Amino acid sequence: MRRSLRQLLLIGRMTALEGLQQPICLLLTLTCVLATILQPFLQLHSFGEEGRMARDGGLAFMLVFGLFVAGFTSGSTLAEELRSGTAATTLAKPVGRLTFIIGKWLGVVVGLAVFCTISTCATLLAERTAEHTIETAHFAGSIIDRFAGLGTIAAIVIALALGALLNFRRSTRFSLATTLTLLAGLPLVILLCGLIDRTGSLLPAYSLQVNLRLLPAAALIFMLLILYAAVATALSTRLPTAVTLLLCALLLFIGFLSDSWLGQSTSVIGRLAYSLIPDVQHFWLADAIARQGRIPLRYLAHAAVYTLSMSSLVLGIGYAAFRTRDVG
Amino acid sequence: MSDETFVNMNSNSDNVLSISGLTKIYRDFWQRPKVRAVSQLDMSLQRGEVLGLLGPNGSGKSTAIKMILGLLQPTAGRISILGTTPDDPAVRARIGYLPELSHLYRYLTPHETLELYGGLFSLPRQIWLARSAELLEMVGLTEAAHRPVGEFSKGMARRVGLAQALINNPDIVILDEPTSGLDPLGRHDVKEIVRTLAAAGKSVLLSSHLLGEVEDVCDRVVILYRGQLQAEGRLDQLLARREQVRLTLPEISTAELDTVCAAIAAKTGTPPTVDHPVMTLEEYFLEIVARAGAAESQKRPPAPTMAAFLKNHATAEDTTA
Repeated sequence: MRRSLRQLLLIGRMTALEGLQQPICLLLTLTCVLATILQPFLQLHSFGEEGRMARDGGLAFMLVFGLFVAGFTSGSTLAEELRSGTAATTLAKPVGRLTFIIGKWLGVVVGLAVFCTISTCATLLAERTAEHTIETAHFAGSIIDRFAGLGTIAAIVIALALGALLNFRRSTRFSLATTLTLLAGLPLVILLCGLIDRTGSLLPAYSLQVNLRLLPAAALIFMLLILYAAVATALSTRLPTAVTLLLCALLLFIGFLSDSWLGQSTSVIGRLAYSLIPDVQHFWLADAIARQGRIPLRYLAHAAVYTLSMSSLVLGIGYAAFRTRDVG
Repeated sequence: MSDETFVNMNSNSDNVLSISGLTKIYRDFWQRPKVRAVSQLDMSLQRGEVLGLLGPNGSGKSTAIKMILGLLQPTAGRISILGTTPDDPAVRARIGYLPELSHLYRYLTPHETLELYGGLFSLPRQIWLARSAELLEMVGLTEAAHRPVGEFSKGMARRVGLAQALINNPDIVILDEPTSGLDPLGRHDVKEIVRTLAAAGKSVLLSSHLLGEVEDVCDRVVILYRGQLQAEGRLDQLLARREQVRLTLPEISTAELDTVCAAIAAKTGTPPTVDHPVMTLEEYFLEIVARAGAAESQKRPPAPTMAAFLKNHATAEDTTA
């Protein structure tokens, strides 16, 4: 048991390390952050809902790009390893196949945790950047918070430069160094934003001026991505990356519509399908935090239990498919 | 082979691996038989023996090895390895495996690769660190220990593969085309490693289609063709030409040679063939490289040998136990 746990953590750690070093994961993360932070600068006809649009957009980018991160990481660290034979080298060691699959899933989840943290920070900063109408002693009117927006872009540029410098000087792996710098840099920008107001003037007292009610909504999306990671891992035991990605995207699409398609169904098949297909609407609670709304902790706990149960079921099915699969 | 024979094979205490009636049929999507990769294979591997698994490409060598490791499910037949079946993960803790191609994690360094595989064997950190450093030095990769494997040449990746196969100080070492991609020096090192492993009582199953290589290190060979066993036996028995005798003499004059030849011709009725023994190209190459590198190697401390590695770890494990 202790040996299996150690193997699980090792495989998970190496999968996460391998995943975070894939250039495609860095590209997806950077695109997600850039798309999130640039949208407040490009908004038109927003009818005073700039902050909400930035927040909803950021969460949507997190969901879609996160799905691709989950699919690509599972594909490259499992399907590709099974195809190339790297998995055979690992499975020739005293490693059970269940341990191997769960370890791979854990590694993908760690990669997703890094991605979601970066994306959540970018969304918090995007919401702060979005145009707001304010009235202070020195200013009255609508204003974009350029410090937060440009600070985020500067953090991206610094992360890329530092990644390149570390790669040049110390042969540190570029994708990993850049991602980790971004992971440290964006929270730092959030903290620095607490020193100044939207006009760029220093605040008399430190005040963390970001919408922390967004965090539970981001956590729910992270949970949904954990579930998709389990699906992608299970599919990757038998299918190539492209097919896994396609099926995950299809599951997301059906998941958005399942409530209206199957929610009212009275047939056994309809009820069963509704129970098995993850209903994305239950995880998409961006609307709940509009107008000072909050997501209760109890709801988050229920969602976490559902995520873990469904992930276990999906990984169990994946294991059944993988248990007797020829690996070579 | 009958069940009775199989039991007898298992009961031989020197057998670390016994295979009986092993068959593998690959099937298509509709489960129709597509290829019979291995057919009714019977063979065994004894403790301290180096067994060569020979055959042309596509003869079923790698398929047989993967079934021995539990990576492929046999269609029929039985495998007993170290007294149990390959499905038991615990038995794989005593096996070292070098796959046909060095399938390694591209973004990991050799150091991280050995950390991963050492961890999978649950080696204590101190033992893993010591073995890792010695193995990397032994395969000549100490200076490249912190570079990603993806940047390596095929030969360098092969050396990392060899190091990972030995990280657990295994009882059975399975090497699938171990010298593929290696230069003559690397091939020579691998052969030395195989010899030393056998001398230390390890059993080695070596698959190759390079006959010279197998001839140099194997005690016994199994020859496969289209998945079927064609020949099996000790090399000295299989290769000896009983109908001919070779006489090797020190350097002698032409007159003396003519006298010897005339005497042999008079006795046998056939004049003997006379030539000079020749080195193989590999022997010649190694001699040249050894001569050229002699001065340089005097300046550097020698890399640990396989024998030293095995000795060190036998002592370390005794202490741990």
